Order: sequence, then C-alpha cells, then structure tokens
Amino acid sequence: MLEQFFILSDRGDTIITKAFRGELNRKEYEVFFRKVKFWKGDAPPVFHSDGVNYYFTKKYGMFFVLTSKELCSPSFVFDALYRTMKVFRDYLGVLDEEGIRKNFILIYEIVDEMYDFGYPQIMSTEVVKEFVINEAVVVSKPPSSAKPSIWNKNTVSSSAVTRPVSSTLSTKKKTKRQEIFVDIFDKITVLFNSNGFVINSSIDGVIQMKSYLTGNPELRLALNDNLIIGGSGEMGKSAITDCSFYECVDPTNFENTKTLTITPPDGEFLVMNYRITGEFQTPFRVYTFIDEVNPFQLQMVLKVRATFPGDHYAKNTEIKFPVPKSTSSVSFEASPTQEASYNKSEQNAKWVVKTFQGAREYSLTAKISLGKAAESSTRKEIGPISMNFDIHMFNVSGVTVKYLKIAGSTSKSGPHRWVRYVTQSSSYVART
Amino acid sequence: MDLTKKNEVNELKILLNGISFEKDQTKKRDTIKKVIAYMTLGIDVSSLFSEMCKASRVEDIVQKKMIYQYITNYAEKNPDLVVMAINTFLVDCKSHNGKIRGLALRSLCSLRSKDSEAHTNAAILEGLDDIDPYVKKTAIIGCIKVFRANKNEEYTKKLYKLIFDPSPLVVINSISALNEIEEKKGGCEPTEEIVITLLNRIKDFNEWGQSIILDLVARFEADNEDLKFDIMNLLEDRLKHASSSVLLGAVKVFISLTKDDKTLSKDVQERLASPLITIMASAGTTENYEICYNVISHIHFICLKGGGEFFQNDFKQFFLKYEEPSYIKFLKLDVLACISSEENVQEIISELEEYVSDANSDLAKRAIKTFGDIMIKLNNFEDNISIIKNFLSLHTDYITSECILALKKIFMKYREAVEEFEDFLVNISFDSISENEAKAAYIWILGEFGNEIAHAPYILEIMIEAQKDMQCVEISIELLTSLAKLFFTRAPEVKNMLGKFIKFSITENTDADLKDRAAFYYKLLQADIFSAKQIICGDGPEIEEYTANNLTSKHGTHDEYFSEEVLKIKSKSKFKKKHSKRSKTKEATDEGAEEGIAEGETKDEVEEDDNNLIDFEEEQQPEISQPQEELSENFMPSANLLGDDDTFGDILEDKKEEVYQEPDDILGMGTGEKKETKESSIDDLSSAFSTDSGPTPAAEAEPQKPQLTLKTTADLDPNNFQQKWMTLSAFPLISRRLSLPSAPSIQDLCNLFASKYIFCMANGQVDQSIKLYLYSQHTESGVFLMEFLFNVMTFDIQITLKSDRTDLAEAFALYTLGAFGIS
Repeated sequence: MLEQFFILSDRGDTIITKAFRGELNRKEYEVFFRKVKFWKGDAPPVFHSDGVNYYFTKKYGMFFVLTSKELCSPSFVFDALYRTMKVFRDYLGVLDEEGIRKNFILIYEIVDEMYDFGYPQIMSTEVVKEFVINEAVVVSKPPSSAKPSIWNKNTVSSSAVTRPVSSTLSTKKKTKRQEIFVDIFDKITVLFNSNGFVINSSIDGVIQMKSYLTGNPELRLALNDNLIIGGSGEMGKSAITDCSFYECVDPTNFENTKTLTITPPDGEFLVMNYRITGEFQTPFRVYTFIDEVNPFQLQMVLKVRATFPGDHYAKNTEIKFPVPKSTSSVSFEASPTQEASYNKSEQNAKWVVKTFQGAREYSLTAKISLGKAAESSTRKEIGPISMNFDIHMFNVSGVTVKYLKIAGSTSKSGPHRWVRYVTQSSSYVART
Repeated sequence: MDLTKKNEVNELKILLNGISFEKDQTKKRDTIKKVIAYMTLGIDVSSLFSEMCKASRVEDIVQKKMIYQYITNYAEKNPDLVVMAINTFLVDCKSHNGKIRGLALRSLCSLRSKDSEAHTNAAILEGLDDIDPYVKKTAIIGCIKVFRANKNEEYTKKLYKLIFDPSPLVVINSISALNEIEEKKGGCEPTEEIVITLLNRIKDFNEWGQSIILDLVARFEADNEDLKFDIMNLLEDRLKHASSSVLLGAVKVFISLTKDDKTLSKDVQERLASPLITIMASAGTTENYEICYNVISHIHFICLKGGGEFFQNDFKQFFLKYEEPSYIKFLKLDVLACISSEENVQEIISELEEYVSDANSDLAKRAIKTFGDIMIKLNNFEDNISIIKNFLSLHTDYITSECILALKKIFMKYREAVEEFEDFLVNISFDSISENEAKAAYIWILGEFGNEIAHAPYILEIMIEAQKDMQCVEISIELLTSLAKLFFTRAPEVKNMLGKFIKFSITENTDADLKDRAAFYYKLLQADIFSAKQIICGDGPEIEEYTANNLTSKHGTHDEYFSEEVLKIKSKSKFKKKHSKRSKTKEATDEGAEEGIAEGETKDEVEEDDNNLIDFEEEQQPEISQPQEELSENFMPSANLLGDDDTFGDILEDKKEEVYQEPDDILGMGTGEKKETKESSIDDLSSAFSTDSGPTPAAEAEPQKPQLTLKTTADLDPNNFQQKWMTLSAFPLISRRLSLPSAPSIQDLCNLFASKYIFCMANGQVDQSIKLYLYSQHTESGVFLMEFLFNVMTFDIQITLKSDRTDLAEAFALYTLGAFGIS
C-alpha cells in the first residue's frame, strides 16, 4: 500500500511530509524533486525510481505526492490523491501554500484520519470532520473584483464559493448561510483547419455543485426534458453521447425522467460528466490572412467573430499564436480596449480582449518584422491560433437545469440555489 | 543543530515540564504545537520525549492527538522511554470515548517496539470485537502492523469473518489486511459467498472500497456461465461511474470473466470503449491529466491486445490538444498508430502532418515515427509517399533524421519504394542527419539496397573517411555490416573498401564490439562464403503485420489486464525478455532505446528489482518497442550474426578453430583451385576473393576415409537436431577409457571433434561428467548424431550414436574413436 504522502513547494521545500509506514528513508522527496526537475519534457504522473513508485500531481504551485513500494493501481492512488486535496480545500477554502503552511497541524490531523498504515480510510469531508478537532485558520484574500454589472441581482460573486466548509460548522448554526451552488460547465474542444472548417469538435461537460447545506439533505436535480442520451442526435437538440456519474449520485431513471437523486457530501463535489461529439455552433470563428509585405516583414490580419448572442459576453478572451523563430519585433494595431503583446523569449504573440461581446467581430493586425529574409517555410511558423475564453450564462450543449429540489424545504423559503452556466474553452485551436 | 535551535529546544523542555501546572488549555496547546512544528521542520526534538509522554495525561483530545503524533514519530529513537508511552496508550484503550479508544489503539500499533508486542496483541483482539466500527477498523489495520513487525498471522480467521461486517470500512480493511497478510497465498481468497455478498452491497462502499472489491472479484474464478452473467449484471452500472478506479476495476472484472470466450470478450471490449473515452475526455478537460494519462495507457493496452477496432471511430478523441503535457501527447500518438484503419488513415495522417510542423521538435519526431508505424501497419504507403517527401522538403535536420529512421522500417516492408527515394538518398549530405541513430539507419539502407541505389558504395566510401574521426561505435558497426552486405551485391566496388575497413577495425580501432565483429566477418568470409552470405545478408521474411497482431500472440492471456498484478506478471516476463535482448545485437536494443531515453533507466531498474515495481509508462513501453525489436531480429543482418541462438556460439567456435588449425585446407576449399599457402592476415581477404566471380559454393571435403565423406561445414539447426535425435534409433553404446595425461576441457574436445568435421550442437558439464551433443553430415546425404559423455576423473567415455546411414555407422564410430587414437 501507500508509503508516504508529501507536499512540496515549487522550489522543492517540504511543506508536509508524512510516512505512513516508516519503512522508507525519509529523503524520498529529494529524489522525487530531482527526478521531476530534470525530466526530459514533462515528467509523467507515475514513475518509478530506486524501489519507490511516485504518483504526483502539480496543482496550485505545489507538488502533491503519494509514494508506494508495492504495486498500487495508479487510478486508485490518484483518486485518493485528488480526494485528499479536495478535503484540504474544503477545510481551507482555497488551497494554496500559505494556507497549508498556516494549517499544517490540521493537515496532519486530516491525513491521519484519511490514511492508516497507507490504506485509505475515511475519505469524505463530512465524516473526517467528526474526527478532526483542529480548525482551519483562514488565510484572508484580497476581495475579488466587483460584480459585473451585466449580472442581475440574483447572482452572487464567484468568491462566495471559496468559503471554507468547516468554518460554517464551527461558527454555530445561527450565522450559517444555507446555500447551494450548481455549475454547468461546457468545456469545448474545437479544431479548425486553415480553411476555417471544423475538423474536430466535442463538448466535455461537467455538472458541479458546492453545498453549504446543514444535514446534507437529499437533492433532486432535474435537467431539461428534451435532452437525448446516447447516439449523436440531430443538430440543435442536446444529445449526449455518453455520460458518467459520481459516487453521490443515483442515476436510476435518469434516462426516462432526466432526474438525478443526489446525496450531497459537504463542500464541492462533482455530479456528472457528459460528452457530446455531435456538431454544435462554435462560439467563435477565426479568420487569418497572412501577407508577405517584404522579405523582412509579414503582416497578419486576424479576425475573430463571436457567433453567440449579443446579450452575452466572454470574459478575458485570450488569443495566442506563435510567430516565426526569426522574428525580431511585432507591432500591433487593434482597437484601444484590447491589448496585444509580443513575448520575445517564447516567440509568441498574445491578444487579450477583456470583454468580447456576442455577435461582434474584432480584428488584430500584427506586423511581424523578421531578423532575416523570409523563406517559404517562414509563413508556416505563424500559428496555430489558440483561444482561451469563458462565456458566462451561456452554454452550447443546451444542458440546462429544470429544477433543483432540496428535501425538507419548500422552494420559496428554502436555501438559496445558485445556478451558473459557463462555456469554457478546453482546446480551441485554429490552424493557419 | 546550531546553537539557537538548541536553545529553543531547551526552552521548550522547560515549558513542557511546567505544563501540568498550566491551567490555560490554549497555552498548553500552543506549547505542544511548537514541538510539532519543530518536528515538521526536521529539527530533532526527540530529546523532549519523556516530557511529552508526561504531558499526554490530559483529557483534551486536541493535545492528545498532537502528542500521539509526536510519540509515534520518535518511538524508535527512544526505546528506553517507550514503556511510558505504551502505558498511556493502554489506559486510553479503555476510555469510554470511542474516538480516544481508536486513536490510542492506532498509536499503540504504530509503535515499533519489542516491549509493546504482548500489549498490542491483547489490545487488537479486544479492538476487533469493539462495538464501535471506528475502533474495529483501526484494530484491523493494527493486525497488518503487527504482521509486518513479527509475521503474526493469528488473526486471519477472524478477518475472514469480518468481511461480513455491516460497516463498509471494516469490510474493506479486512480485505486489505488479508491481501497483505496472505500475500504469499495470493491475498484474500474470493469465495463465491464473499463475491456475491459484496457485489450486492457494493453501493455501500466508497470509490476506494469498490475498487478493492472489484480487484478481489477479478481474481474470482466463476465456474459457471450463470454466475458470470450474474456478476456482470451486478456490475453493469459501475461502467457509468465517474471514478476511474471504479470504472477500470469493473473493466478488469468484465475482461477477466470473458477471457475464455472470444466472441463475448469482443462484445465486452466494444461496450467498454465508450465509458473509457468519456472518462479520458472528462479527465483531460478538467486538467486531471494524471487520470487521463492512466486511462489512455489502458486504452493503449486494450489496443495492443487487439481491441483497437473499437476505438477506430473515436480516433479524433486522440488528436492532440495544445495544452496537454507531452506525456499525454506521446501516448496519444501511440494510440493513433494502433487504431488507424483504412477508413480513418487519411484523416489521421493529415493530422500528423500538422504535428510535424509543430515548434516542439520532440513532438514532430514522434509524429513522424507514428507515421512510419502506421505505414507498416496498413498497406497503402504508395498513396502516402508524397507525405514523407514533404517532410524531407522541409530541410530541417531533426525531421530528416527521423524520416530516415521511419524509412528504414518502411523499406523493410515496401522494398520497391526505395526507388522513389533514390534521389533523396543519394543527394543528402551526411552532416544534415543530426543523430547517430539516424546515420546508422541511413547506412543500413545503403547496405541493404545496394542493387537499387547505384551510388551506394561511393557514398559509403565517403562516410568511412568521415567516420574515422567521429568514433561513434554504432555507426562504425553499421558501416561494417553494410559494407559486408554490399560485398555480396557489389563485390568489385566494395572489395577493397571492406578489406580496408576490416583492417582498420581490427588494428586501429579500440572498441571491442567493432573489433570482434570485424574479426568474425573476416573469418566467416574466409571460412565459407556461402554461409557468410546467408548469415550476413539474412533473408528476413516480409513484414506483414504490425503491433497489434504481433502483440496478441506475445501476451496470451487477458487476465493480465488492468492492474497492479498485471504489472507483476509483466515485469517478470520482461525480465526474461531482457536477458535474451541483451545477447542480441546493439542495434536491436538501440531500437528500443529511443523510447528509453527517459524511461530506459527506470525500465532497467524495474526489471532488476524483483519487487515488480511499476510505472505506467513502462507498462506500455515494452509493447511499443516490441515490434521494432522483432523487425530487427528478422531483418537486421547483424542480428542474425550475433543472434541469441544458443548453439550458434558453439558453431562459431568450431569454425574459428577450424580456420586457425587448417587455414590452407579451408581456403583451398573455399575458393576451389586457389590453394596457395596463406597466413591469416588481413590482406588475404581481398586476394582470397579476387576471383570476382562472387561467392563460390563450398567445395566438398577431401575424404578422410573413402567410405565416409563428411561435409566440412555441416549445418543443422537445433530443432532439426532434436527431431532427428528423437526419431532415429541408437546404435549399441560404445564405452572406452582414454589414457590421457590430463583431462581435456569442453573446448578442447570440441576443437578436436571440429578438426574431424564433427560439430558441437550443445555441451555442458555436470559434476564430473562432460556431455557433448555432436553432429556431422555426409557429403551426399545423411547425418550422424552423437551423444558423447566424458568423465573427467576416470577418463571413461560413452558414445551413443544415431544415424540414418546405417551402412556407415560403424565406420563413423571408428572414425570418431580414431580422433582419440584408439579403436
């Protein structure tokens, strides 16, 4: 079974080290860090060195590592590792180095309850809570930026969901705010060829919740009736190719009633994943025009058109593309609200559109000066263009929440229920 | 420890000593917290042990937990004081509070001390019957701890009973405990009762519990069909589970249940494809790349097992994404190669073309390699010739290098395609091939296709010059082999070059491998040019199938899937493989080394470590490199030369001796009329073959006895030998005693026989008895097989002779004995 758990900072300092069995030398984290640091390319998440298997993930600027001497199924270990991190996050609100350092005794206490002799024991926040005495010291965060005006007053700042779960426990019932957040993320993958045709597209969606309800009442989540499950359906209808459900969900009858029965654990949890491989309306279309002005200068015109409705917008849309290796400088022409910059060390250009209104088109002209005369292949070094964006309150999949019922409460006086739809780019790439 | 820290520790000691007088719980807590903080920072605070033990007599559970943590950590370092800790724990094991009971028991079991043994056993037994499941589950883990410390197995029976406990965690811990305690018997034994009970209540368990149960079920051998289908029905909905460990666990059960039924197992694989892709995609988009990587590894594994067809339609899911880490990208490329088919190949290839122009050169190289693999898997290279030409037209060094490596493989399958690339091959500058491996591949192509590439000898000539300073052994060895191969197709042009290069390799070069090979070629060419051609040029069969099919035959059973055990089995078989691989040629291993740059190191470690440790990368690696190895084995002439055929070495030895002992004779026979006396010198080679007529067939041996004419170079493969040995009947046993001054070695005996044209197939020595299996071939027809036993103490010999030439058997026996000067 598992031998050790440790958290290292980016620089390799130990933040937390815990040997479950004490059979190993305690310097494993040094070996680990050296290996990862000097790996050619990205170190794979599972590797073996000198009799020890390392399973790690790098998140929030830290390495979270489990080790074993014997063979352990990697998926088993990673599920455990992710869950451990989730429990930390539930306790601390936000998982970061400072928070862990300030709460190290709590972290050790949690780890002691979650693992015994390397075997996963109590793995859910709500049960761990019964056995853990220490309380989290919440690291104060600068208040997040003001609510966007476009949101109506029924919305709440997204920082509301970074509140630690356990603090609600300790501050007694009277101050506890009863609420539950539902997020529906459409994470989309789109690949355009150089002619602007979609050659690969899919939606990988996830429904996620964060509960601050006392007593973990049973929830019933109903999705839109016209949802089709299985098959690739016609365009315009939401047809889910395949889906999977998390532990807390009872999906019996889901295919008929589109309703899920959920026993919510504390804190943040995932409800279901869905995958859509059929065609859908891509939210952005990208057009590029590259001209050789003279042998030492290329001019690229990049047009991006938002095809989603005008009453929505995408926040912090980031458009990136590599420029030729021989580039010496790049100058941009774009309307003033947009920023474009050229990164010399990475040889790429980044264009940020703070607010990308739906049904609008923006364009950028990049004049690329070359250090040496262009060859036939130089043009090909521009691109591909990749986009990162979040479109709020809009989803391309058409998966919507019809209702969310909380057992033992009426919809009028019951706890606040927040629903958020987000279309996110997972990989949005246009070739040039 | 520096002074300030020491002072701080002393201050803590004073604080701790006064702790029992302190009334304020918060202050007490803070003091203990400080100690723990120091411990975490790696500062040695073990000197505070006795103070901490004293401080543990509190009711405050917060302090108790911290102190327990400290005691467990330092118990080993203070064996004298541990008794104090044990007493504290034992008192707490009787506490009315279940949490404290559990906590104390856990800490007690964690103490690795001889003094605690008896107390621990008693406490665990009590704990196993506790009413609180928290104490119970802690006691079960305690069983493992005790087992680890002193191999105590007395709890086994009790643990099997606890599998039927109502508390899920008690059940799971019991299974885990049994898996570890009974490891030698294969872990917890899944009876039908256990399996059915657990599957019926599987939803009571969390993901880890389910995963452990599924693992147990996968080991269960269901003996009737109904039971199998019952299990599969019970697990049906697990395939919709979003946890990768549950899903993969269920997949493992499905595959293990259907392993004996081909149609059913295909159906099952088809069912599994979609859930696997869903979990892969969702893990990828939520940036849980670790899970994603793991799932793709399993998909790749299924593909290699012949399940690739079920992923063919979803090939786009394996297109690379911009942000993905390279380990995922590379793995996806491998999957793409496996799932390519006539239908999707064009789309996959045009996608690969994009990757080749990627700024990341490693990715570009892997894409070209994948392209090569696909070309070998499918049969339409003719349609895609232009693609590789496009790659070459990019004139980028690393791309050109990688293309040459791909072309080497492609030419093995599509020999006629060489012509298409003649221009490129002739005009390319050797310097623009950036990597040694690629240079070697280029040289290989020139050697292999001497007939098709008119300029081949001249290109090699230039390279020899360049190579002399470079000192890269791989390239030199490849040069030598290619020259030797070209010698058989382009003798007049290559003859001198080969002679010179062999001379250079033997006299000036310092590398043992190159030296050995040059010497070997030289002797081989001298000894028997006909066999030399066979050995050097080989006659590899055409490549028909790639990866998937090759692999299915390699790993027979399906139950190796999906797990840690799988890897155990695999690393063992790899272990064997590795041995044979080592004896193969350098090239063969180098093929695999490409993947191994990063992983190779760990690969070795795994194989050497019988703990069978894993790395998912590794799980896949052997399969990936396997086909190539096979290629090299079949096609690389060099592999034929130094193949891992056991008997080959012996034959080689024999021939060497022959050459050394009777050079005139051999050369005379080799070239027919040329019977001049020669010394074994390098220059002989060119003159020996100066007849320009190319290889001349080996002449028959001069008869030693008129009736019995033996071939000077018999050639019989071990299988053939064995078959004949089994079928032929033995002549009467011949027993003699030799009178010799001292006992000859095996080698001496082999040499002696070899001088009589009796060759050694296999030999060995057990205690005092040397055993040789020998054979000889008659020039016209018939073989003589002989088992020769020699006792090194008594000098007794026993000969068992078998032959299909009954008429000559007696003569042969006499001839054999004649070798020892007896009759």
